[in-house]
Amino acid sequence: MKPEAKKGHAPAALVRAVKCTKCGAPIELRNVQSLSVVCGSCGSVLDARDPSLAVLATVHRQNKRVPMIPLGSKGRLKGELFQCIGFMTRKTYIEGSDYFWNEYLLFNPYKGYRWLVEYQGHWTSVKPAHLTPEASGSGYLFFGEFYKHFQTCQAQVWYVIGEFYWQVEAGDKATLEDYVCPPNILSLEKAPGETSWSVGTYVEGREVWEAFALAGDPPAPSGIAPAQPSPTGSDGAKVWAHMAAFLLIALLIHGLIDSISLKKRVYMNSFQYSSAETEKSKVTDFFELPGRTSNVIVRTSAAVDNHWLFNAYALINEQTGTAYDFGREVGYYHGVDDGEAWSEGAQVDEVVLSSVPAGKYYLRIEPQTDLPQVTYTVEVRRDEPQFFVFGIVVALLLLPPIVLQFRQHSFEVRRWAESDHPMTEEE
Amino acid sequence: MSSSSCPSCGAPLEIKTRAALLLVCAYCNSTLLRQEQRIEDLGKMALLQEDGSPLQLGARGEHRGKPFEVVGRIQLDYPSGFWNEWFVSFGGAREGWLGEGQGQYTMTFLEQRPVSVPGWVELHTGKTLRLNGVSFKVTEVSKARCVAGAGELPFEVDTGYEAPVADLAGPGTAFATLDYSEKPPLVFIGERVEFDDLKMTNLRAFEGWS
Repeated sequence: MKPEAKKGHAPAALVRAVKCTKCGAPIELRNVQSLSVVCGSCGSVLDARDPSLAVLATVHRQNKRVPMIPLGSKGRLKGELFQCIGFMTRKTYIEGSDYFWNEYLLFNPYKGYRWLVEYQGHWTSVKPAHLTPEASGSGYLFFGEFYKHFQTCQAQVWYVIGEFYWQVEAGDKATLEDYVCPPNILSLEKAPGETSWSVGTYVEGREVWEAFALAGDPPAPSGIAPAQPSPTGSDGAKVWAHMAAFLLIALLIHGLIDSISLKKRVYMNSFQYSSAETEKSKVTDFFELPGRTSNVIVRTSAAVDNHWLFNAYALINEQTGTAYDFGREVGYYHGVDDGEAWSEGAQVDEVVLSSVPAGKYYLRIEPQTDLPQVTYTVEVRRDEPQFFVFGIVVALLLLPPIVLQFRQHSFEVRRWAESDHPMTEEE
Repeated sequence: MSSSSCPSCGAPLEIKTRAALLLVCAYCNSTLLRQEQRIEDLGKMALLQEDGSPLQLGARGEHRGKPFEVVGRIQLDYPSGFWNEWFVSFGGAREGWLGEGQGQYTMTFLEQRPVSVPGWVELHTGKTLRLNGVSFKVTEVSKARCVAGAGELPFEVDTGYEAPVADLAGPGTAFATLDYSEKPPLVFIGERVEFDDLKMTNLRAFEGWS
């Protein structure tokens, strides 16, 4: 039997109520392992390990921030219970402006420390990296994922309150290097005599509010945070995969339609046109349009060269008398203008008549032309699948991933605009 | 495991590791040196300080699938705060050191074979050195004061002595500690571990943290 084991039955108290050595304000110490505590009233930095709480320094008091997560409040973040024990506002100076952000130190006696970092309404949950990131090109590899360098800056403590596991000094300075792989961010903090890696994950303000049961609504985030996941979903690959799957289905349907289509030539004949003839109209022999109600393709071809032929057609059902009237022109023109060769039109024309019922039909053709005589050929085909339908399907399928790609790209441009490496045109 | 009794207060002593050389009686806090067939009383051990550690003697956990029990403790006082090296037994045959402080955990094992390391004065943060063919970087060089020991330990503990130590980080989770309080320096090699992965049981309970 060990006395320490027995002690386990009565929970040990961690909280110590003390008074500030300088101003007498009450202070609650919540972590035995804290090295220093900053009095919220007078800004004195006290030695938390010293039973008499010796005053070590005084931090700037003109600055004042009210932590959104009150010190001492407990919250369950991703299922883990943590208590907020320290708060500081740090700033960096970039190109003539100060940028401020807030850091909340969270503590759990078993799991150690976490940070909640808030910048312009964006939150990141940070913990120490127990795995050393491996340098690789312009960034680092961490758990097999590449983190790209985002920004290097000099951070200075601007406001601080509560207890910390290190010795807080007025105006503490550190160099911060951030590397991103949304929604994660790796940070290397270099202070004299110490370098430490931490890894953060972007969290929604609402999650923080729910975890710590905070009143009201979280402040609306502005701009884009370095580790903010793309709102269109980081998984563009998934969208492309869906598109590919639908494309395959479309291809199968097209193949199916193609395989059950008759694709049959039902009529073909050549005719002579001559301006000398009195009856220029032609009437074809009867032909059978077999199978289901489907399309009919009428192809007109003529060896016109800088001339035209216009045929007024009527496809007539011999039994019902139903007529399909349509006119088709074959015209082919070419020449050389200002030394440049041009051509227009073609010597063939095809038209698709959709949904023509089966039956016995014939064509009536009334040709017109600017030629004295010409030979033309008329061909009628039945039930051919139309590739343009398939083309429209493909185009519609391509639309979402392309739009997504575009939106993702513009989001990334905006993300990286705030970094040390803004994206250039060709990226 | 062998049984004996404290020469100072007569309380029963349970010895869980063959490596145990020093024992601290859980009842009277006497420091006992284990020799051949007898146990020598070296006087009272210094008191441990409350450091908020969640571990305690008798706590159990597992490392890489192998269960262990915490059987001894050395409490160290670093400039950066308290740190404990908990002597753990993997079922009697193998022992390791579970380092713990500020919510960070490491599991290291004493290198039995000699490992050549540079002298204390040559060490500085950022220095690279090779241990057993693996490249490590020095992350911290400091002097730790030994506060007190508890349970059973494989060597004598001089409370109040200053131990010059260096922490090193290797690839991935690799971690090492060099202890220059002995000659040649003791080399501990292992890895950083996460609390959740240790699956610890029989821990200390804290008010408001059940």
